[in-house]
Amino acid sequence: MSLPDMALGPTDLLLRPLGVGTNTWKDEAGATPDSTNPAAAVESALSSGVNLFDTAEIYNSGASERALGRALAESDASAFVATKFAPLPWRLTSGSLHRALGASLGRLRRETVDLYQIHFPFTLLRIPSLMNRLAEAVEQGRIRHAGVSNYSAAQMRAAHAALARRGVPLVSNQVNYSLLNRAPERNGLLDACRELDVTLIAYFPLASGVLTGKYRAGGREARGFRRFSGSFRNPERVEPLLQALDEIGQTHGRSSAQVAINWLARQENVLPIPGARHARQARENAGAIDFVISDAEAARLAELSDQLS
Amino acid sequence: MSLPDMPLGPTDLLLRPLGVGTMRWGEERGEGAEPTDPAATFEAAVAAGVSVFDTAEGYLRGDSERELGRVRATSAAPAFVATKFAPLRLTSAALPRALDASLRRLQLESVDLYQIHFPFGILRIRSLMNRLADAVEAGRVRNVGVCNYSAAQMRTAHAALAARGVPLVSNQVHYNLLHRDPERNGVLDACRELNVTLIAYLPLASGMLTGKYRGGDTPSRHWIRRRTAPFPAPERMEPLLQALDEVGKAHERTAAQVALNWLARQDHVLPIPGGRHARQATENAGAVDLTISDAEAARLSALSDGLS
Repeated sequence: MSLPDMALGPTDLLLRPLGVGTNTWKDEAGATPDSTNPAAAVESALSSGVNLFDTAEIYNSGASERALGRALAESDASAFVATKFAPLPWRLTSGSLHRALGASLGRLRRETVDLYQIHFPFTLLRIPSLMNRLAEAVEQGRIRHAGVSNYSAAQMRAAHAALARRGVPLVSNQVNYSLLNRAPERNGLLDACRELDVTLIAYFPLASGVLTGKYRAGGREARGFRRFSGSFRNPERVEPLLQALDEIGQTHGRSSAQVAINWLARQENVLPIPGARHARQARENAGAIDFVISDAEAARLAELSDQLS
Repeated sequence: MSLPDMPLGPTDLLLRPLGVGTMRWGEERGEGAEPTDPAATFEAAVAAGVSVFDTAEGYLRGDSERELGRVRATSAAPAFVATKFAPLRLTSAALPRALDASLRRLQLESVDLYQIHFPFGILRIRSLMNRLADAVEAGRVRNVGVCNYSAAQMRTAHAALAARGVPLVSNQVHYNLLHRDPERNGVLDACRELNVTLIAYLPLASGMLTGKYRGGDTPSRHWIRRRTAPFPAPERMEPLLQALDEVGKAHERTAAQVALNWLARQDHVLPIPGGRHARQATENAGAVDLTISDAEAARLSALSDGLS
């Protein structure tokens, strides 16, 4: 049994409950099958029925947008393209949103973007001004839908109200959410998303790879930023959860990662966007939504993850 | 009476309580009649005893750093150079590379103050602070600061640096008579408690406190509406702007100089008005060689109380 399609926010648009994160994509594809290859990842995701791709102007200084634009230009399938405006502290007027959108559209090789999100809440710009610029962009046909990212419940309500005054719905809030970071359940965000009918787009749904099990004790050594994360430093704390993911995966003939993604995607209003660097990852991720874990299995995972974040 | 020098955070380094913001250095031409002239601004500032110049890798895609590097290299005057890391990368390992790039643009072997430009979730404060401490140990950075951090974020940064024996010297935030959030959200109190310098940006509220937009002579309603700060209606600001004028006349100074003095006379506060040309740099520098009285400062505070 496959997970059903879900509506984007309060719209009629139906999407598979999964997208593709592109924050590691660069202009050049690597040489080996395991190196980053945007074109292969796009092709593999589309052929598995996943067509939502999420990028941002700041990912690799625009290279992620360029790579996505090039890969989609070479494909016939229709895609849902989401990108983000960074309200950087040196952007002192909200008019900079229109200029940044123009640059993103150029890199993406598109006339319109399906979802344009405000990347993070810290800014010198006021939420109502930013929302007015988003509403203008919708009216101009340069964006189809307006979203935000990393907004708290209160900031999201302010954004929702400002857009509503312009007759534009807020369709999404993209935040860090996984079995190892359940803050959205505790800080009122998930509740607010359901109340306002806003899709919660979950980034880092695999907690930077911890939930795949590949960094388990005795497994791969964590490098870079991973060294500073508690879950990487104390793999034994996470072990019971990883074991349960494994067991449930075996019951369904799936990987731990697929179970961890399914735990998110089966929830109402939640759309995870695991990163996919190449075809194999895109295919594995897509396989996370063509089955459904049971309520009992989901409850067991929730319980084991309760103390971990 | 001139304002005394102030130490940078808990260090022994004494600075004039004013700096120069260089966000628009390197732009083709200023919005106003007078074009941006980094070299003349630099010379006028140092001639007036002001030596702190604040830039960022993000300003005009590095052009602000390049301009500051260029004019500093051709001047004999010593300058205190502050720049910032934009935490837009996926890992904190990007910090030393970004620092190298900034130092190249600035034509420096080390920078006097390296700041994290804004709080942004993905990079953990602790790992960023470890990178900053590494840069101090490597001699590439003399002092470490943050920007736009809340009191809680600042305490986390302070503690993480303290574990490495490095002080947090500054937090750069939006602070002026029309935006007094730092007094209310705990940032100013935390700065005093932890002995961290509060570097105040937009100290003239994008020019609003100079009085040049008074009397309906606003640049455009459009401009105001899209501007960062939610400015109150002109008639509500008028009493404050009038008081700035009057206090200015008593000291033979401009309204802008009084507004800057109101910040700079406070313990731990160092305003950095933007300087685009020599006249502005000279005028700004003139804001710290007077001291408004406690009564005058209190009057300005009272008139600004309901405005932000």
